[in-house]
Amino acid sequence: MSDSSDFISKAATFAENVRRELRDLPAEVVADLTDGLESDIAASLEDGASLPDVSQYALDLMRGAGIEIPNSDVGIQKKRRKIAEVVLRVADKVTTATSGLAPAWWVLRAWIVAQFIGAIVSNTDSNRPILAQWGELPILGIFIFVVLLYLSVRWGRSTKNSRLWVRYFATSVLGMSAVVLLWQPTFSSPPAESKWFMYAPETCRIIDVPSVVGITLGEAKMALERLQLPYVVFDQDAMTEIAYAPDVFEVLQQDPDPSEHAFCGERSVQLVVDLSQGPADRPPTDVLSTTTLPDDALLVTTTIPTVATTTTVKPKATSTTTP
Amino acid sequence: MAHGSEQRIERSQLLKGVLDLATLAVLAEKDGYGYDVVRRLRHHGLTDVAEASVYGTLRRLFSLGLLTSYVVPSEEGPHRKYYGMTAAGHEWLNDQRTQWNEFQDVINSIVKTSTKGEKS
Repeated sequence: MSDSSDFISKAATFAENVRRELRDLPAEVVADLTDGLESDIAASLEDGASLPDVSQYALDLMRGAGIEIPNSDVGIQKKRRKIAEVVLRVADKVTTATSGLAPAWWVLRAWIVAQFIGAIVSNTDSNRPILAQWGELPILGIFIFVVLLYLSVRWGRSTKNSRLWVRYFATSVLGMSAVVLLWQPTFSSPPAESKWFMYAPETCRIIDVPSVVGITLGEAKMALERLQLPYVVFDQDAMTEIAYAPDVFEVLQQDPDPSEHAFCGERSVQLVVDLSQGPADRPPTDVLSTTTLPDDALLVTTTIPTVATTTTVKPKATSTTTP
Repeated sequence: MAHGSEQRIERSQLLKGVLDLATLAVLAEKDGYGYDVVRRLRHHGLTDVAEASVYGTLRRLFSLGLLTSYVVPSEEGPHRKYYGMTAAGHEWLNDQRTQWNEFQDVINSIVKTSTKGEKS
């Protein structure tokens, strides 16, 4: 059941569309032709009439007023107007349908557009779930969201009075954002070498890679094996990976660096040694006590000396007594 | 279908020539706003008159100086633009009314004559 305010609202929208149809005329002529139109249309609606076609209505208005109808009002211009009309009609329907949901609807549409902008400007992978579009730029994301929320609320409160181009623009942005965000997960099947591979929890472990530079190869291997991290040995002199190197050589470099926390997929820790320099000249026991491994007790305290130590226990002197 | 459509076109063509006169005639009774004029015209039998044509006609008659207009604000909704007759409007109406009556007599005479011919 429609009430008077509903008629007035519909009449205002219709009158606005009529003004848009007449926009090729001088502004003062349009103002004169449409002055008081809202009340006339509202009265007509109250009498049970339905809203007529806007284009025909504008033409009748011009004919009645004796204004020459320009021939250019056909073809592309007319098609553009029709498209704009459809967009605005959808906007009006969406606005009417969601008016009861405000302010939740205002928040939701701000969030949709924020996510859409995040998908474009933040340097995240397009295959990430839409909830995480601002994952790498959270502060900027929050800022953009707050700005959009402000605009959304302002727009929501003044929809009836907002300018036509504002409504047209806002509706287009919102519609485009929703379509892109909904469509995105369906077309993106990530290739194996994409960033998804790096971020996927199945293939990556977030782990502290221990620093093994400066200790012997044997100690480094043990530390990595305890963390179940694969490793390869690289000879810096020969510039090649080697299948075997004596454990006594010092690890000169490692890759990945300890500052990298993600350890992904098939990757191995590369332990760089230089076989041409000879083995580490430190005694093994010293190496154990001055390890550069992190404070992780697991890594530091469970290493086993690579050089076996033997303790010779001299037998105690025995005396033999003869009966 | 096509026949009905043609009939409507003919009627609208007839209406074009007399809409100024009809509009002024209903406003001569009492001032009125746009839709009020439409309502009065429909009440007299012009049921298919296009609202926008009447509103355009009102603006044109106003610009010709035959009508005056004033705005009545409303607390419940948008303002209403009322139209009333000017002295020039009354003069024009009287002149047009005379012309219409003469024209109507001529047309009636022609139509009646042709009807008699058809019957015989």
